[in-house]
Amino acid sequence: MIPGGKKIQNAGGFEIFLIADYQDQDIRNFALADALVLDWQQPDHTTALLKKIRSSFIESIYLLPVFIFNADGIVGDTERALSDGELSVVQEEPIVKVIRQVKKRREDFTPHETNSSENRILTKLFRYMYTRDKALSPEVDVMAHMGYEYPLIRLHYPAGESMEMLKILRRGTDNDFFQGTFVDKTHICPSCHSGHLNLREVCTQCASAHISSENLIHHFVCAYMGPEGDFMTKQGLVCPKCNRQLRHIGVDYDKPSVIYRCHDCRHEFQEPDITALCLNCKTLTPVENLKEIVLDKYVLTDLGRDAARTGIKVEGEEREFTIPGFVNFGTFLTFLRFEIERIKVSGKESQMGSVSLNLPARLRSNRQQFERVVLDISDFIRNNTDSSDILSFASDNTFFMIFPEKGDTAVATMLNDFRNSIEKLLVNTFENEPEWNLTAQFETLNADTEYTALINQVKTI
Amino acid sequence: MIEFWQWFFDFWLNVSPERIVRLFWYFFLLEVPRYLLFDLVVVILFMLKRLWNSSSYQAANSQLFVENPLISIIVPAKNEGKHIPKLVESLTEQTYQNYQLIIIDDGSDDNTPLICRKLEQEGKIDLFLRNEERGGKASAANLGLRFAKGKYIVHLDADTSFDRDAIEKILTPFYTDPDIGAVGGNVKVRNAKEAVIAGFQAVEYLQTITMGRMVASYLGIYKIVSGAFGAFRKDLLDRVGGWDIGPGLDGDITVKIRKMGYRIVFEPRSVSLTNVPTSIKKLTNQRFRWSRSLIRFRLRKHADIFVPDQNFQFSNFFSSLENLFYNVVLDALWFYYVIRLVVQNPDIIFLMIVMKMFLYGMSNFVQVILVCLMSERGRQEIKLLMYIPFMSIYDGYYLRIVRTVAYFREWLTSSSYNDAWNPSKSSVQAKEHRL
Repeated sequence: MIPGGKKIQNAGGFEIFLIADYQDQDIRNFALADALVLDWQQPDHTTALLKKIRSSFIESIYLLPVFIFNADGIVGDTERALSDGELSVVQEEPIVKVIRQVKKRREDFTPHETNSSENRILTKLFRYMYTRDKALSPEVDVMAHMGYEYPLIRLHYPAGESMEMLKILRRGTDNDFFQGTFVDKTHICPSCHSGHLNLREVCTQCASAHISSENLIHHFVCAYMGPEGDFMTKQGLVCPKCNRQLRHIGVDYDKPSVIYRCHDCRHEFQEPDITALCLNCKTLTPVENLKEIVLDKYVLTDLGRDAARTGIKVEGEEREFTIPGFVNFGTFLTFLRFEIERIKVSGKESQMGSVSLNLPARLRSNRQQFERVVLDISDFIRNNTDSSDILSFASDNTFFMIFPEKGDTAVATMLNDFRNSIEKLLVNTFENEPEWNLTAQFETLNADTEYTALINQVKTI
Repeated sequence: MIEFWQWFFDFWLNVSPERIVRLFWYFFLLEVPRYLLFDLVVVILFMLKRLWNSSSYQAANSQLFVENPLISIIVPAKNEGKHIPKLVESLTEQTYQNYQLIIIDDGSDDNTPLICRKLEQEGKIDLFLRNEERGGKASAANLGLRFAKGKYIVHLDADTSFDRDAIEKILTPFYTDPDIGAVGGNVKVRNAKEAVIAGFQAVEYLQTITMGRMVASYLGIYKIVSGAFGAFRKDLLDRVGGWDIGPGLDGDITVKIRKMGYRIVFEPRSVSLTNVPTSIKKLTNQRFRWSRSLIRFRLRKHADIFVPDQNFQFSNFFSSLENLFYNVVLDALWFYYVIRLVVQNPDIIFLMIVMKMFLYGMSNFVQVILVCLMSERGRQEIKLLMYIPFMSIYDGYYLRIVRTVAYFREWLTSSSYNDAWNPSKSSVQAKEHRL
């Protein structure tokens, strides 16, 4: 049973829940559901929950069939892309169809563990697309940094990291997992990659947008040429050179071109420059220097479907990142299970801590520098923990620690020290790049701790 | 061959000087006085005057640089993109630099707009104006004039290039006399070596422009500030409303400024080089156009010059009269002379043609030597003497026939209104209003 959820009875006996109450919903509760129907009465909450579900790395959660029950509202493109469909009445048939397909496809999957966050995201993406036969399409989104979004990928990249988002798609196509077909093109600011641009015609001399244009008139009979204003009189258009009235365009006169005038510097010109003002970072860029982005619609290739089943195996891509004194994540999970079993027997309490770096992909792209930082941090953690503590580093992002029977207060203080020291280290390494969100937290392990729930929680960190 | 020359010399050595003059009266009575003796005298006077006025000329030149007025160089162009970079380069080398360069593209259908927009972006052209629809050279020049900010307007053809001091030299006369309304620059041929026909034109330009205009200017009857290179006071161009529909718009605007009572002078030291047609067909079309304008503008549009009313000016009267007399009347007279000669002396017609070539050759020889003596590039121009023996064929027969045909056609059919040089939308209006 899901708190705030109402079970929808169905002939297949599937666990389908209608969620209308979004208060304190914990996605871990959905791991055992077969499908969800989210009520669109509170669109913001629906969207937030939907994004939470799809951004999870737990397969049973992010692959969960989710429908939107929408009696009278309008569902956005993002929600449409992240859900499995809209229902105007709660019907069993379409939901069950998706449940059956997803379940069947999931049977093909083999377990996949990786240290690479990119591979993790791609594998997740492939599995989602594979279970639904879904294509990955760019969606127009005025709230998006670039103006376009691939909603499913965006969940894993903060706003402003559009290029990283596109890079992962390119990797997918470069390795023949995806086949892309052209959908659209967009132009973005070369400085901050925002697609929110104000394109303006500007003065060729002073770049002011305070310009206006006027038609030029050619009076055939006397060959006078000048702006329309020269001809304007109360009697209509009268030639300032020969005083004749201009009656008939094409016979007496024509308008062969226009002239622009700058109201700031008085410059006159015929072809204004066009510059783009980035509404995000205020940078002015001539249109020819804007970055052009091609937006493709992606479908899985045979290779992509294989990768969905087995996880990505690209030679050379996934290098084992071993840190002295740290166990790999699989081993760590085994230790964690043993520790939970142990304290259940002993009746004591232990702690599991984590420090997440949350570095933007941009800072991770210089691999050498990133690994050096991680090794420095791990040295520091190792030197400040006991030899009985179990340490691990996962997903290019998070340090995990098991502190057997150390006590909540001691662990809280220790993690706080870790966070402060790591922050200093990051400041020294990435000058002028204060874009990380360092988090440190811990869980108390005691007799009530459920291994599965904890594992799920660990995987979502 | 030897026998012919023997016959030739025997004949002419035995003919009395009186008969020679009677046979070649046209040459001795009309052409020698006007184009040789008169030129010789006037050129000597011109040079003496220049020497006499050299200090005041220097003062005027200094005054030009003290005032350093902004001038506007306007260049109407159609499909002239390939010439523009050279023109721009030639201008950046000028000793006078306070200019605003305006190029007006009159509906080019080649890459002219691309070339010019690039130069405009690079700041080498101050203003590039383009008409998507061709409007004719006058409207293009008028558009340039409308946006010109300079005190003086220098009108150029796109395929013209300039001596380094050409702009300075064409502006200086304005500071010698406030009554000067326009100054004509000296136009010489750049591509004389490209074709024989271009070589003939090079000689012709030296005779009719460098020499002819110098004489006309001295006499106060100078009547065409060449469109290829001329300078005007902007206030006067504004008063006359700029250029009217051509062809012959440069002669027309000069007359309009003369009518306002201003002096027009020629400055032979302000030298530009231009490309001339290298095929007979193109040359013939060009000369048809030039010649038609004489009838259309001098005889029709500005016929009031001959009317003795309160606006009558002797200088304008003589200017047009000389033009008409030496081109139209004497051309007609020449045909009468030739026909009469053929009828009366059919036996010696060949001897006469050779003799005529000799006489004209001598006359042209003296004239070109004179020009070369005064010229800043006389050493190069002296090589053009090789064209002299045949100049009478080019000048005396070919050009005269082309001219005469053009006069008749214009007189009888107003053919200039059908000239594709103007777009038909303008020609229709010009014809309707007899402009």
